[in-house]
Amino acid sequence: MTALVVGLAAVVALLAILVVGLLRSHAEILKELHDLRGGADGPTSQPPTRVRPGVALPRGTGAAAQGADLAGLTPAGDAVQIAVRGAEVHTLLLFLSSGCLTCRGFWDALADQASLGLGPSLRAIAVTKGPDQESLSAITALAPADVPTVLSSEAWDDYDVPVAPYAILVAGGTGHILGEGAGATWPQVRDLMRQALADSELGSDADLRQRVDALQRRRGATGRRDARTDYELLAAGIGPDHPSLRPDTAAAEETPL
Amino acid sequence: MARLAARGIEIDLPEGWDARITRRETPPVGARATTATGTAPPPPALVHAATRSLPAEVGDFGSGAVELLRSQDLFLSLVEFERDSLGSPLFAVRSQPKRLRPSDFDPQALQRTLPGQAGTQVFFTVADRPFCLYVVLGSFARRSRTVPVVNGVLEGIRID
Repeated sequence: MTALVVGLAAVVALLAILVVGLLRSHAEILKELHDLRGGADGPTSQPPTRVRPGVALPRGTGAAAQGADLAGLTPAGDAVQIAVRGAEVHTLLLFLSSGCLTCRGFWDALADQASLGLGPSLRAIAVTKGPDQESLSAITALAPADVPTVLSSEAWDDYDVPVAPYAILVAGGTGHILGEGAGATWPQVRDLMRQALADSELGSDADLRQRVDALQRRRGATGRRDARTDYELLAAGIGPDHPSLRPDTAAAEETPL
Repeated sequence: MARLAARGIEIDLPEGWDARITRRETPPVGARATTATGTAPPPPALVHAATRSLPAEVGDFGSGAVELLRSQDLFLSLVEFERDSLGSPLFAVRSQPKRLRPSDFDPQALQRTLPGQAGTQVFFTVADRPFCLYVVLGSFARRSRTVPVVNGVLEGIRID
């Protein structure tokens, strides 16, 4: 009888250990699933963004949508503040470092302002981290003569810059961030920013935006390319009923039966 | 509000201002004096601040920048002089100006007269460093509104 009780107790103990192990394993699986969903509560959380090695991750969704004034040091050791919000022109902030090889092409491009290809409504400013995290002598050697260079780790924090090189276009006046991104070469970044600028200028027409939004709702178009195409067509006076969009119909109407 | 600090000068600036603390390239008068230990003193400092974007090249007293001022704009220059100016009657005032009055400004007090603008100059010595504060208002007519803004910036300047 005693042996039976002891045996049963041992079995119960083994089963208890098994159940605890299963529960623990289940909890770890749930935790992994939770992390894969971005760690946020609720079923609507987005999965984490993944990019190829060497490609910059986008700034977080909590990143500032407004520009901030730059304050830091110049390569000569002078203190400087440059107003970005409320400036008369748009500001292209190029976050660079002295060490990254990709940045070297940007430094070279900035050295020749005439070939930068920026219009009069756009100014470029190179921003590196502060002297505590950058080589002042290296930055002094790289800094272009005609483009302001500011050493400011605070600016990198303010703009939540993920990697160098990284470009952020801030609107003059409003201080809104019009566009941002990374690129391997200066022409890539310049074209990105030109597109962002063009988009923002098209978007400034409230009436046009309303019409495009209505079109998108009606047609269910969701792509950025579709929206841009709509803006350009409507800006040229070509709406959904424009005869040029239905050449066959127009021809049929003109051709006598 | 950002704080700039260099060359023994600290300045708290409101958002929207451009500013630089640099060193003067060309001392105005005399050869460089030496200190009691025989070493040359640091080069004189120069502060420029404005409510408009400062061009790359700005004269000590704002040439190149004041021409761009709109009626609501302000320009401020804090020019340090050579140590051999110490003790001269021009720099006899031993306190830093913190509060200007609208009546301190005069359209004729500009280094170069520009329509509608007004300016003022204050010479003083702080921490054995002789300075000239030069302020330009984009509009003399708006001085009662813009001088308090200038005073807000002056309050935030500290000289070591």
